[in-house]
Amino acid sequence: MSTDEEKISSLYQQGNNETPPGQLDDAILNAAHDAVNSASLEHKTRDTHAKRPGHKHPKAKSPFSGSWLATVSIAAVLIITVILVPLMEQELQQAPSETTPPITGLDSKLDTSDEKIKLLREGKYEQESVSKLKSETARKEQSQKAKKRSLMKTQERQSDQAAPTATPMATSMPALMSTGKTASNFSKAESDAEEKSIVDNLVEDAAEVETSAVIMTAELWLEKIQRLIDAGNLKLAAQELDEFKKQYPNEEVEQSIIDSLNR
Amino acid sequence: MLSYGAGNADAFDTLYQRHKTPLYRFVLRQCGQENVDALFQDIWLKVINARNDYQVKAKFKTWLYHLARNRIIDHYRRNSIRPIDNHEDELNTVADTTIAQPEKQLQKQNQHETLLDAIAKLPREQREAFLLREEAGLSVEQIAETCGINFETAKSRLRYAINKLRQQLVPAEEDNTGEP
Repeated sequence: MSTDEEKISSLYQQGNNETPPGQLDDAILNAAHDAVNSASLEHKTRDTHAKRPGHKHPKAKSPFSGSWLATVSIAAVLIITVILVPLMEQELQQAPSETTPPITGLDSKLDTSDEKIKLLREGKYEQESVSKLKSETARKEQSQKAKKRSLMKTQERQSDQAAPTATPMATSMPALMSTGKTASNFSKAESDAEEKSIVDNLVEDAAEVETSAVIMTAELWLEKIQRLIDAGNLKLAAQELDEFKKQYPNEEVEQSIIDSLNR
Repeated sequence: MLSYGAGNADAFDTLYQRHKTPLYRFVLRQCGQENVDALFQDIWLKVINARNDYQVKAKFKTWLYHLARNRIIDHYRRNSIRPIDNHEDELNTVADTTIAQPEKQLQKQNQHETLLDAIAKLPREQREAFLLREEAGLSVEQIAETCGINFETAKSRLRYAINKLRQQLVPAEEDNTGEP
C-alpha cells in the first residue's frame, strides 16, 4: 500500500463515525430472535403433537402413504382371490346336489326317465315330485289322446274326400287315362297313400309314447312304493299303492309289494 | 452463522455487533442517508431468513457483503438510478466545482467531507471496491470474490478509485493550506 493510499485510508477512517440507530438495531435483533423462537416453538409443537397418544403423522392420513398398509391390502386381496373364491365356487357346485331343487326346475331338467329313476334310487325325489310327475303324465296322456283323435278325424276326412273324386275321374275321364295323362292322377294317389302312411306312423308313435309314459310312470311309482316299504314306512306305502291302483287300475302290482303291505 | 441457524439467537447478536457498523457505512456511502436504514434492515432480514440454507463456501463477511451488494444493485434498478460510469467527466466536474468555489469549500467542508464527497462521486464499481476495502476490510481477492469479478479487475478498480480520490484531495489540501 502506497503512502497516498495510507493517507486516504486514514483520512477516511478519521471522521467515520456513522452507526446504525439504536431503534434499527433493536428491530433487527428482535426479528432475529423472533425467527429463532418461532421456529423452535413450531418444532416443539410438532414434537408434542407427534408424541401425543393417538396422534397420526400427516403422511399417515393417506391410506396408502405407509408402505405396510399397501402391503397388507394387497395381501388381503390375494388371499380372498386365491383361497376364498375357489372355495365359494366349490360350495356352489356342491350345493345343487345337496339340496332339493324346485320340482318344476327338476322336471324341466330331467329329459329322460332314467335320470328320474336314478334320483329316485338316491331317495332325492320326494312324494310331491311323484304326484307332480303323475299329473304331468296324465296331462300328456290327455293331450296325446286328443292329438290321436284329431289325426283320426283328419284321416277320415281325407278318405271321404278321396272317394267321390276318384269315382268321377275313373268314370268320366277314361280317355285321359288311356292317353297317358294319368301320371298326375297316379302321383296324386301315391301322395295320398304316403300321407296315410305318415299319419298311421304318427298315430303309432303317439300310442307308443303314451304306453311307454304310462308304463314308465307306473314303474317309477311302484319303485317308489318299494322304496317306502324298504324304508319301513308301510303306511305311506299303502296310501301310495291305493293311489296307484286308482290311477292305474289295470296295472299289475308285484306280489312282493302286496305281501309286504298285507303283513 | 451456523450456530444461529442451529437455533442459537445469541450467535446472531455477536455477528450483528461485529458487522453492523461497517455494513451500515457501506450502504450509506452508496445509497445515501434517506435509503440506508431500510436497505440495512432489509439486508439483515435476508441474513435471518437464510439461516437454515447457509452453507460455508466462503468467509461470512464475503457472503454478507455479496448479499448487501446485490440488494444495493436491486435498489438501483428499482429506482432507475444509473450508476456513474464516465468517471473522467464526473471527476472533472468535482474538481471544477472544488476549484470554482475554493473559499466556500474551505469553509464548509474539511478534508474528510471532501473525501466523502469524492467517494460519492466515484463510479459505482470503483466506489464499491474502495468501500469494501475500507469498511469491510476485504483483500483484493475477497473483493473480486464478493463482486464476482477476477482479481485483476478488482485490483484495477481499486487503483482507479484511489487515484481519483487523490486527485480530488490535492486541490482541497492546497485550498486549505492557502497554497496556489
